[in-house]
Amino acid sequence: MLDNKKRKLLSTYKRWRSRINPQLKELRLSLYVIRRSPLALVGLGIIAAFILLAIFGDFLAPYNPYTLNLESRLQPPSFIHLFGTDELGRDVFSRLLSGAKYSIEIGIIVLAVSIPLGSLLGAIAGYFGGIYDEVIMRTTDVFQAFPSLILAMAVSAALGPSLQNVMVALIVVWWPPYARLVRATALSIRDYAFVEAARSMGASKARIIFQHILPNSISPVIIRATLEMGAVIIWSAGLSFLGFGAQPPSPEWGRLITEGRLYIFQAWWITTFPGVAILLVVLGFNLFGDGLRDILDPKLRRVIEVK
Amino acid sequence: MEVRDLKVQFFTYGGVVQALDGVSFKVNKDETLGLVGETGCGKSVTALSTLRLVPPPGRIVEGEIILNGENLLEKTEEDMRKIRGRAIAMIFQDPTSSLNPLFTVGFQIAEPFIYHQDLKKKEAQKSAIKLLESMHIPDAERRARNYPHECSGGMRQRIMVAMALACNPSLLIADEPTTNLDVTIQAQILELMKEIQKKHHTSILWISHNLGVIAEMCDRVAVMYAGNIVEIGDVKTILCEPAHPYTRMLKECVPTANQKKGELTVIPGTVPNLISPPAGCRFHPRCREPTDTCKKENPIMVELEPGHYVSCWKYTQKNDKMNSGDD
Repeated sequence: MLDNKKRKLLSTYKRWRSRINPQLKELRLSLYVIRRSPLALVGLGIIAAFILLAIFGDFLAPYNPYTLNLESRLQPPSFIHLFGTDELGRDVFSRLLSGAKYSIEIGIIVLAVSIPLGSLLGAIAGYFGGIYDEVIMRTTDVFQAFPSLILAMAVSAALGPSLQNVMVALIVVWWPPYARLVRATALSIRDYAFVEAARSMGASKARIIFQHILPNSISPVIIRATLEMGAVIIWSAGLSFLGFGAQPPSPEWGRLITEGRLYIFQAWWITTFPGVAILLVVLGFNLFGDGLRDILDPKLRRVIEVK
Repeated sequence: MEVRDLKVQFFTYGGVVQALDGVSFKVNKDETLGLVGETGCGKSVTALSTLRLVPPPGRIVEGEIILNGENLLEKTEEDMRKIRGRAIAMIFQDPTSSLNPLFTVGFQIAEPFIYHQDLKKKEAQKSAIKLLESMHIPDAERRARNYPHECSGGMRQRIMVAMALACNPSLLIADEPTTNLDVTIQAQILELMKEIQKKHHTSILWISHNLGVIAEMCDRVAVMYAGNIVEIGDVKTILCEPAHPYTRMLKECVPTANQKKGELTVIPGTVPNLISPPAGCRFHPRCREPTDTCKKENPIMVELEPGHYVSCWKYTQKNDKMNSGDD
């Protein structure tokens, strides 16, 4: 009886294995490709560490990042305070750990909103062409006509300084390049025979966009997104540094640098460690983005597969 | 299906291209009508027009396309969408690029079921596999999980045929479906299409420039030249006793096995520029026996024998003389 059940389970599992086998093979190849690129692995490691810090930073911090301790202010790095203390005696290491979550949160939310928005608008512009194309592309022109940092500053200044408004400001700046990128691919894909075939089969316009245009133009977007995750983090830190984003006493990384700026000659550690943290994270995303480009490049893949 | 006096024009920067200039034909139930002609004579535009999918800047300016008693040109875009794939389906020339590389073939064959029969994904998938089996594809269930790049050209074309047939259309438009396949696969696809036609009583509009395939597949043939149908009739009549000078020259171009080595026969000249087509009969610059009338006036379609129509002044004048002689 039990044996029968077991056998049944086993055969279901086998069938499932054989069904997902092609996907598994692809995955294995992807892992192989990324293993061959040590820099991408380093990037992946940094990103993983960063994400873990963002999730568990508050628990790992040895001190409360908000507690003032005026007796031990401006302490240099030591075993008691790993990265020293700031002008109000707060532990820089703890603040750094606790601030990691802001950066990742902004990065993810900004990209999660601006990529779908930009891609969809780009696909519409590219597929329908004509007046749609004209309106959407001229809108992106307007956004791109401003130096983007100035535009982001203007938007967050108009909305008032807060972390949410920095996100809004970054989304406003971030979507136009994606719209242009997807539009360019959509323009070539809309003339493919399979799009015409889908139309001849009675597919609706929405279906063609979501089923044929978007999936086929998404891979440059993914590569750009990983490369830009670092950029979003730099920008959000930059805006916070300029006073538009997180407000004191929030330990956002850009904020930490601003606060330490006044003491840079007496206490280099307040600004240096957050700066290095930003540098590392951005570097991690860039390295990984490069590796991902190799994975998603079918030509390069083929070469490796043959070898 | 009947097409009456269809005119399609492309509004380009260089001028108005008169791609179709009053094309009329009829595809009867259960019948295969072949459409032959040189590249650029308007075969594919005719096919796309019947689905109302002429790509911009092209537009259907005049005419009627009547399917089951209804004029398709008066339909709304939404109604048209429901007709495409259900009442009229099309098989494209190139099976390689006609499938989306990112989805399994089973998924793609299931699509028309989802559009037109409101089936759930799972049921649609089952119908897709059944359909593949009816296309004589071995191990259909496994094949359905393949991606297009994992299938051979013949397999892909069979998948395209399956997709087109998913909703049992009353008219199937085949736009050179065997051009890119090698001869043995061609034969298989032709057999398959014949079998399907017998089973489902589908009318087929078969577009090709391969007279051999036409002879094999079609009941009647329409010959197109520069946006006009110049001759239409029974496949035997057209291929054995062509009346129009163009059809004759087209037939002479087909090399035969016992032909001596040497140059192939060609029709001198090229397809005319359709922005400013030649006055009168559009074929007269390349015709062997043009008369003054040919250069001035458009010929009229005349019925030589029952069901065999030709548009050439040669026959019109003969008929006139015969008529006057009778008087």
